[in-house]
Amino acid sequence: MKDARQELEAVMHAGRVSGEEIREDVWIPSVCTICYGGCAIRAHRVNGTIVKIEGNPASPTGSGRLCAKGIAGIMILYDPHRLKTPLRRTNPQKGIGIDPDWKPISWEEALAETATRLEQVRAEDPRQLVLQVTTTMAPSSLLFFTFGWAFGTQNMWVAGGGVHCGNGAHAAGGITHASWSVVPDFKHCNYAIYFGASKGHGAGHAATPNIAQAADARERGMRMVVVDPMCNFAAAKANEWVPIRVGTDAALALAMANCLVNELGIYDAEYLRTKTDAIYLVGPNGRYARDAASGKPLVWDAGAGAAKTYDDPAAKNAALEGEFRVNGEACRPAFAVLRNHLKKYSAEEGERISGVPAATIRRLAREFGEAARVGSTIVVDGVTLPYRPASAIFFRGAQGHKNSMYNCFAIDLLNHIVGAADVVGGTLGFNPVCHGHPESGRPRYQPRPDRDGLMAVGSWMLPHVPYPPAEPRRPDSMGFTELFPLSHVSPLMASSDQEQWWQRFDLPYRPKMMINYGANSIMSVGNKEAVAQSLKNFDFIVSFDLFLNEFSDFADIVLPDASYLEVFDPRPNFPFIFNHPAGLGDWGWPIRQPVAEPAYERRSAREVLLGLAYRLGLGPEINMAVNAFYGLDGPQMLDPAGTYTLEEICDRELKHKFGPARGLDWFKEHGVITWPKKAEEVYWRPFVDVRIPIYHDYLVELGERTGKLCEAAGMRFDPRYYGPLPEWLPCPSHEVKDAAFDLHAFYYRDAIQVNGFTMENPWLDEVARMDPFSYRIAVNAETARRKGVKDGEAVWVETSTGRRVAGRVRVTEGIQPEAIGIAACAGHWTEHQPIARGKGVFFNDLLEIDFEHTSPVNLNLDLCAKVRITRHEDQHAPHGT
Amino acid sequence: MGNAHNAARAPGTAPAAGGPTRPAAEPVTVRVSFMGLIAYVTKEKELALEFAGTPTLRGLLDELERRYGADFGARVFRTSTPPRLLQMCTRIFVNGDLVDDKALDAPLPAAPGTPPAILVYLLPAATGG
Repeated sequence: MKDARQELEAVMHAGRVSGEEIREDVWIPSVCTICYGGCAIRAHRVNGTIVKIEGNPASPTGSGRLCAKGIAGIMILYDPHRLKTPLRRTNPQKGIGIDPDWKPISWEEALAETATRLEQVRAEDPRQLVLQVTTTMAPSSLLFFTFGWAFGTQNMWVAGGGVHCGNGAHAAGGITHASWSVVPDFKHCNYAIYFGASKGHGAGHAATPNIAQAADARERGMRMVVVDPMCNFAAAKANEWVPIRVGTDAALALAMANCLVNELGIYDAEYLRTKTDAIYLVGPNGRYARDAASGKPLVWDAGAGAAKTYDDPAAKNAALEGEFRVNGEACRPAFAVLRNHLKKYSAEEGERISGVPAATIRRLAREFGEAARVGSTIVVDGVTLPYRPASAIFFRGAQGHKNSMYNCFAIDLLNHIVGAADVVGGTLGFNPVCHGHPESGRPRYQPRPDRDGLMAVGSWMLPHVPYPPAEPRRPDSMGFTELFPLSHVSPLMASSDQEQWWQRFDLPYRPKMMINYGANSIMSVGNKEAVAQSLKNFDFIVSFDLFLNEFSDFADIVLPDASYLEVFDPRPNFPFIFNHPAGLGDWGWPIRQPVAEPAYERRSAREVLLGLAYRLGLGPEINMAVNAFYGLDGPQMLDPAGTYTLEEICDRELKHKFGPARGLDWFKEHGVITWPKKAEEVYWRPFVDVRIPIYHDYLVELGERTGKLCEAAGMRFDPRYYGPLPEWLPCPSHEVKDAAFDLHAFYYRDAIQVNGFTMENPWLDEVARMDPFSYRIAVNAETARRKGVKDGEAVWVETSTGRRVAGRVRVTEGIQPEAIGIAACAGHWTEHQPIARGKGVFFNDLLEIDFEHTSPVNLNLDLCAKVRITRHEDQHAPHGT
Repeated sequence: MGNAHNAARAPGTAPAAGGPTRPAAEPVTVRVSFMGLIAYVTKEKELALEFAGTPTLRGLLDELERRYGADFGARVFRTSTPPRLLQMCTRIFVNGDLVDDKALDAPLPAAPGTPPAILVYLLPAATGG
């Protein structure tokens, strides 16, 4: 390790020998991509060498700040262990830890073989091609998806990044906030309660702007409560940490909702009446009552004493309570149904499930409800707006379970009960509305109502939007997302039972070839044996990577990718719903551009893939796919018959958005374009005529259709997950009966080590080794005492199904007594990453990957495991430290 | 104070400009290109259809569904029952303009400066796996 560091330092200083003439001294604007933050950067280049990276103050995406990861990006650029040349395996045997016996080949050899294989696959059945893509470069990896569209396969996935982190939170965020995730309105919020989230206190979407805003909010006096099994990054800065039993967020949130509605009588009737389906009448069959002629949902107009369609102007004072006869049946407004439903989640029941004392639940509900100031308004930029300075947010922790959808809906329900959704002080989606640059009017989008008046997003990361969900149908993709239309990514791509389900549904093909871009699915999904078994399906795997890693053991050809510091990307922070800071301030659209030329034979994977598409004769298809994906039309549309470079595409995308004078050359010089946000864009809810569901009627229909298709194929279907109102449903870990396995293991995203390749960065490794938890297993002090385990000792962590990992304990008061916490992305074993190798604990090896551990609604993988810890027999080995 | 949850609306998007339309009786040829996954369903990449009068986009898609079957319809329309709106992951270009549900029930515009034909690119955005 010391040699590697010295080697890197020597490379860095190669251009800075004392006394050398300075021929070049420039600062180049670009964008970081080490995590989802997407912070704008400036790279300082002297005589061709990057000597420093810092934040770019000209862009609101980062606001001039940069975390340790961004600064350490230099070490990725000059890491001598990075791939330098294409490689071809010579050992036909594939398996975990089996040396492929790589030999260097030329790019032409690599591309010729790849193209030949692709032509064969396409001739047989293009669906046999699988594209696997890292989520870290999410906005810019989308040229991979367009390749898939052009080729004719729908079998694309983002490995662990999707099935761990998004199927729940992003779907829920999309349905109720038209956005990828949610954050408190830091500028105005007075009371924020975080459920398994760390916005503003760790890595992730718009990380550094959020950190600054959260710090300012705390200084201003915002009270912050963090509900989490572990007193981690967010809780460490909070006013109050509420330890919760792993995976029980829905129970706590529903108990709080019950307190608000049924004990305290705190709810925003006007918001519920005008912005949700709370007034929609529900019949005895649990479905909306509908107008026979139009099919629209009905409401009860108390003044007229009659049912009317929801959009009837006379329905302004529609009933929230009561029972009415409609179409010959007794119907109640959805709010009345919800109110009754919540009664079973008393504070005592919440305590029984979550471990949070009933008195605490009642206090939190009262504090939240009073902080929301229902009925108040405030003037912002001359506009009078609802003012609800309370926010309940959710993210990875709350959504990382089989019950992810209900967990997220239950937490978000708190916001809608008090009207604190996308209004001043409340919970904001990341930029669901944009009116566009004042000169070009682009990008312009906003949510719109669907047939029932419910909200469909205006902008999304992928074409597959969460609402309205497509009608379920018999699947012909490998992951069955057509059967489960609320899902984005499917663990069936790598599950141990995939063949069984493919046979049950008569999938007419099997995967044959994979193109991988930067994903390490052997480590990122679940237990490595299941993933390794799934990779045996493939005859041929081509992988674009920065480093050889554990996944490379299964590749046939590895191609050396250019890093984020060596490539173009016209839209690193767009869609704005992903990693552009929310709240008031400025819009910013930066670009990513090379700050250094790729060394050795490295090439941009996106450029290679574009070239491959043209080589395969897919010119019209890829051009139209790019048009479709980037929304290019008019003069900037790619001509189907044309051939384009990536730079030309970038230029067209930018001119399409900002006019002919602001193409790639303009952005290379300026780095970013900014313009002020308007209050109506940020606090958009009063200005857009859409409603959100608090009664998820569409889930009932989805469940009926999906259930029929599953049962016809002999796939066990659990209708409990398709009820219209959120419930707490136990994870498989909650149902383990063996008392010997008495702890819930979970993982969390470290602020420094955020994905696989950060572990190889020696500067970040140095920082992580200074952190007491990054490479250790957090165990409650009393639990450790009870089990006779001391701080620093090595233990086995073992599941009831026999999976186990080893690591060293960090004893702490800052974790719920029934939980053990492990930082993610660790536990590498490849010899090709000497810094990462042997550091931390490979948590994912504890996880089952099968349908039993998958949400039957959104296909999120269940990410907690019931375990026991025992003292390791070998106390001398490093065990990850 | 009044209900601030329904403030004055922000200006909506301007409707897409329509092009010249044709007299009802004149035959109109529509050229359709199928790309990506949908070409696997149709088993052909291009098709020219003649209509007596300018069809709407919905009329064109209904005709294509009749020709290629329910599997085609399932990839183009979100539901099998009315109101049938477009799959949100399907992209359709008409004469170079990306269209959405609003274009379904309007007559397809003529392509300016070209022989009387309308080009529709159908590119279902593949998802999932």
